[in-house]
Amino acid sequence: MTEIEPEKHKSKDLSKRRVGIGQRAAIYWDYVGKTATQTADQGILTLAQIFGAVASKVVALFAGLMAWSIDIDFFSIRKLPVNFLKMIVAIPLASLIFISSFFLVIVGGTLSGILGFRNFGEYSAKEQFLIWFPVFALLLAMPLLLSEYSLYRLSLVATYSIAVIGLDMLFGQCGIISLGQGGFLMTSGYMTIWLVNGTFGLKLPILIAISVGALLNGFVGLALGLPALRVKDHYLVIVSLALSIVIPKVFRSPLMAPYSGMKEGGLYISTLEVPSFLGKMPPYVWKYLIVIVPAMLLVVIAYNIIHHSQIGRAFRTLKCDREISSIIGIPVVRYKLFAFMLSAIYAGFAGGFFVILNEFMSPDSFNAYSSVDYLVATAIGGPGSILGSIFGGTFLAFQPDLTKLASDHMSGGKSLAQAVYGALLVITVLFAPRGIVGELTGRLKSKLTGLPRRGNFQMAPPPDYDWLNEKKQHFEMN
Amino acid sequence: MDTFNYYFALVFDGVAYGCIYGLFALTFVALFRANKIFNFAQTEVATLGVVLMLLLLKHMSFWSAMILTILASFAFGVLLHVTIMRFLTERRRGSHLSETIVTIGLFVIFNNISSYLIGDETQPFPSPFGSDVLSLFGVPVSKQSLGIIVASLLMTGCIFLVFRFTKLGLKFEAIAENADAARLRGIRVSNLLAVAWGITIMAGVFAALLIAPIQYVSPAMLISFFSYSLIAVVIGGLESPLGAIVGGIIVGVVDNLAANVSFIGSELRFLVIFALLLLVLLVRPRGLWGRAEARRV
Repeated sequence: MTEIEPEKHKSKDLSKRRVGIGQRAAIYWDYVGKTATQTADQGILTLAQIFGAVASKVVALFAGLMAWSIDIDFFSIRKLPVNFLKMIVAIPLASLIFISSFFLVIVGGTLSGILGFRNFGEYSAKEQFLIWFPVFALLLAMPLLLSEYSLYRLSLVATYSIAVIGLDMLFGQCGIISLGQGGFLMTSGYMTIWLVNGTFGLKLPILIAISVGALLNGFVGLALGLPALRVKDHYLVIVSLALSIVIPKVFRSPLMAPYSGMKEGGLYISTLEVPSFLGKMPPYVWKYLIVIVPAMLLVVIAYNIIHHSQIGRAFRTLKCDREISSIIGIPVVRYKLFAFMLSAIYAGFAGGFFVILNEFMSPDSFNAYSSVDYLVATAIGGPGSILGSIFGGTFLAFQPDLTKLASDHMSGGKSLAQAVYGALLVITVLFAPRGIVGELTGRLKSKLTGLPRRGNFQMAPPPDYDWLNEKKQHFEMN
Repeated sequence: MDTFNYYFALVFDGVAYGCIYGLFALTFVALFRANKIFNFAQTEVATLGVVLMLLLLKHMSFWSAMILTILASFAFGVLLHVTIMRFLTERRRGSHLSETIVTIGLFVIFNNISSYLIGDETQPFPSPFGSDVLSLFGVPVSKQSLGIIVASLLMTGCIFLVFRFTKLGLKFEAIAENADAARLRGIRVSNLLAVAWGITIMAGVFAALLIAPIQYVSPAMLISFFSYSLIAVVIGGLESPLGAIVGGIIVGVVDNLAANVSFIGSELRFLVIFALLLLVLLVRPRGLWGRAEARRV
């Protein structure tokens, strides 16, 4: 343990100093990422901080509402004439969206509570609401703002993010590498199509079909993890790689060809109708909502599992050291299996979303190379953080565009661009082991608070723990 | 006699493929013993070597191009360790995550470089053995398979002799046993690891050159070899060179027999190997020749 200089350390005693705006922001920031004991030590938020947090979110929302009059495309922003009539419709709609996003947070938190995780962890429903609310409200308001194509891209980002979050549960949290994400996406995609089309005589509504597909995927993960995870983590890499090679081959084989639509080049989803109670909602908005709402719930649940439950703490302990985790009483194999199941379930949901978005699945949709892509996205974005995973998902969603840009401008640009992604991965691991997002937030946080940055695998001492002073007192007493 | 010939030919071709799997598995095992990591980029580097030789063939004869490729691959392995992997393996902090991820990143890089160099279409590769059929004790065998088996066994034998009977091999054994103690005894661990990288990359490129005439050259030519040889490692035991070879041959024979059973066919043959992998993991997790180690968690 390196010594902490007393000078630097004193500045952290926030109660004795006047705090400026930067420090105030730092307190809020610190609060967002703080553990329960630290919260208890430093007392609750002051009213001013809550006000500041709410105010900033309200400003963000109004900015979003203003943006409603502008048709934002992902690459070109062009202004449209402001339509006042539309504005009048938009305000009650926006308030409806606010309320529904509130319920989303409540439902997500309660769901994770029911599933056995501590209800909302260290944050109450209100506090989590403050964090999630603006994001959710903006996402739900997006059909008012964006064109059909942009909505498709946004839901693609959500889909990839869910798949990457699933891998992050395993790789970022527990430190286990898996190359099976492509295989899992394909199995659940086909299961969703079969259940919606009624290929095997069972016809289910789309959302239930996705959930059933994802849960079945979880059991596939359990069946594979049971032999592989008992021994060494290297075995899981091999087994999962073999899985993502074997699954497309199985669907391509003559045995499965009638069910996988191999002869027609792929299987199409038969019906994707807007329910009648939604009136004249355009199908593309329905597709967007049916992807984005479960995706938001999944993010809330993942957040609660990772940051606010015994499971998340066990995962992080596992990542530090397997032997020590076992000594302090964590059932290591059980938690590793659980992580693998979770990752398979999240991949399953992502596969279902893919089927909704593209209305199509073929044995060529995913292969071993696409599984590698998910790992690259996780490592680049930031293993161990939800924000990093969403960054990785965004990267994956826009990767084809970047590649196309490169291949348009030079011959062989496609492979060169993909080689650059690989190089990016190597550089990230060498120089920023916490990923791009993890490194940036870490730097920002240490700049704001003056605390030392946390390394990849080490934990920093509690920020208000005064090592030197305690030692001095110890000597004075004796 | 006809059916016997048929099945013998199947097994023989299976053994030929299995020798290549075994050679790749041997390189995985050798590097894992010395450096405690799996080089997941191994097969892609080998593909790059084949591509290099394909490019060299336009300018020189077969054998000189082959020798140049082999030498270049040794140098490339040393370079890989010196430039990238050294910084990871020598500052190890209790986890192998970053090294494995870096090798997967190298996998992506090399795969795409070879697709940049030769494009995505498959290209033929000249064979040193010819393609005619030879009669061995009255049983017809293809010259190609025989050549692959003999050459890969020679390569394995060379590696075995180097590791077993030279001072270099003894030093590698010391590093595999305990790297810190070896360093204290005056063995230059980092330099020797660079040599180990060079040897394993070289052996991988050699195996890829052997299989290239059958497999044809394309950026994805070795993706199935990648998984088959890793499965061979699991079947043979994680740290056993003999197990790697035998595991490779088992995988090759089972795969080739399964492909010719009518209801399995060419697509489902991998499922058989996958089932074999799960079976080995369930029944004997440490592999056929694996050391029984203290229980790890």
